[in-house]
Amino acid sequence: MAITDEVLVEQFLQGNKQAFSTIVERYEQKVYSLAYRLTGDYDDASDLAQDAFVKVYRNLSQFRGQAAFSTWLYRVVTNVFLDEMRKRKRRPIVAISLDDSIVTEEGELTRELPSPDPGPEDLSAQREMQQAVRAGMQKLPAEYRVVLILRDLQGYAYDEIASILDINLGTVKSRISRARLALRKVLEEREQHGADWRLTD
Amino acid sequence: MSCDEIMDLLPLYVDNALTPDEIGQVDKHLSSCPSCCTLLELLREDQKALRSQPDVQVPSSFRRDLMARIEAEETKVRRVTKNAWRYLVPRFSSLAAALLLIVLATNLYFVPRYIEQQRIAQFDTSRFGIMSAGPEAQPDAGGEFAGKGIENAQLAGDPGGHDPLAVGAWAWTTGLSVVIFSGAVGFWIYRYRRIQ
Repeated sequence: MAITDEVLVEQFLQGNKQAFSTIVERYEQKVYSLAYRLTGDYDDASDLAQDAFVKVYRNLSQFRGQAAFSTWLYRVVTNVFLDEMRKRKRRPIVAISLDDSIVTEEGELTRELPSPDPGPEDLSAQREMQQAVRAGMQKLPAEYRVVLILRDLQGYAYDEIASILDINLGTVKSRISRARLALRKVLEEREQHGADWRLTD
Repeated sequence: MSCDEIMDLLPLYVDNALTPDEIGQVDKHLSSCPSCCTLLELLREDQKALRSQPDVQVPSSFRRDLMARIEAEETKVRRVTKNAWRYLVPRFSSLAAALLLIVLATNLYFVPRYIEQQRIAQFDTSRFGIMSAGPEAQPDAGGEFAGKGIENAQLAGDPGGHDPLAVGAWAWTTGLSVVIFSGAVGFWIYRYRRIQ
């Protein structure tokens, strides 16, 4: 059995810098994935993930071990994200990339698995839907985006989400309910306005 | 239940996050409300679309960049601390030197007067002793002097002795001032020499 997170934290607090590197190695994929889903942009995701790890590095002594380390880590990520969103107020972090051709131009295809560059005629209904949902997510308020991502993209249970966000279960439920309804509304508006809706973003 | 109330429950229905009671209520409503049924289906599709999003791969340079940034920030913190020290210490020592110079000057001004005062007191009490032997033996100023001698003896307080507390305070503050002032001067000399 590999070294537990708690042991690594303890080692780091006692001065072992290598332990922190191991922690990063263990969680960088999950943190980056969460960051990307929150921000919708690769560079912003890198920034967010880095900011979160730097904050962990500085504040690890405050981790009391009441929750699992991963819970605490994801809480840092979401808090950094929410703080950043509050600073930027209403402006979303990223221009919504509505189709894969934008991704191709930036040369970032290699980062996303697996993603052939489809022509407009080849877009399956599902891909269309995926893009629509991704675009719709970016239009949601930050708090709604966070719960939906934690639930449907990262796959956390309701009580895990409550733990990560440090809110109670009832709040999680009501927030998810409102978030899903808000997403539905955004998607309906998109369908109604069609091409125009894309351009105005 | 009304459609509005059911609407709030449907997103949780999709997740199986409702109590059996609530599930029953929703099922009952759905059996007779096509629009809510449609909404439920759409919510299910939304969730499916979300859950099928492909994952993204963390960049291979991520960890390297992160550790480099942490290292850079640590260096910056060290440098800022060192600079703060180098900024404050000279200024503090200058200020200390200036203050202590004032203390020194004050002491040097008052000390001779104090010594003078003590000497006068001693002188007067000895006169007082002579006078008690025979005031008529004094010269012209004797008449006046006799009176003054008594007054001065009283003014001097303890005749023939210094006030130890005052002397001690003076000696101590002067000594401390000299020491700290020398230290400040020494520091400045040291710093000046380093720049050369």
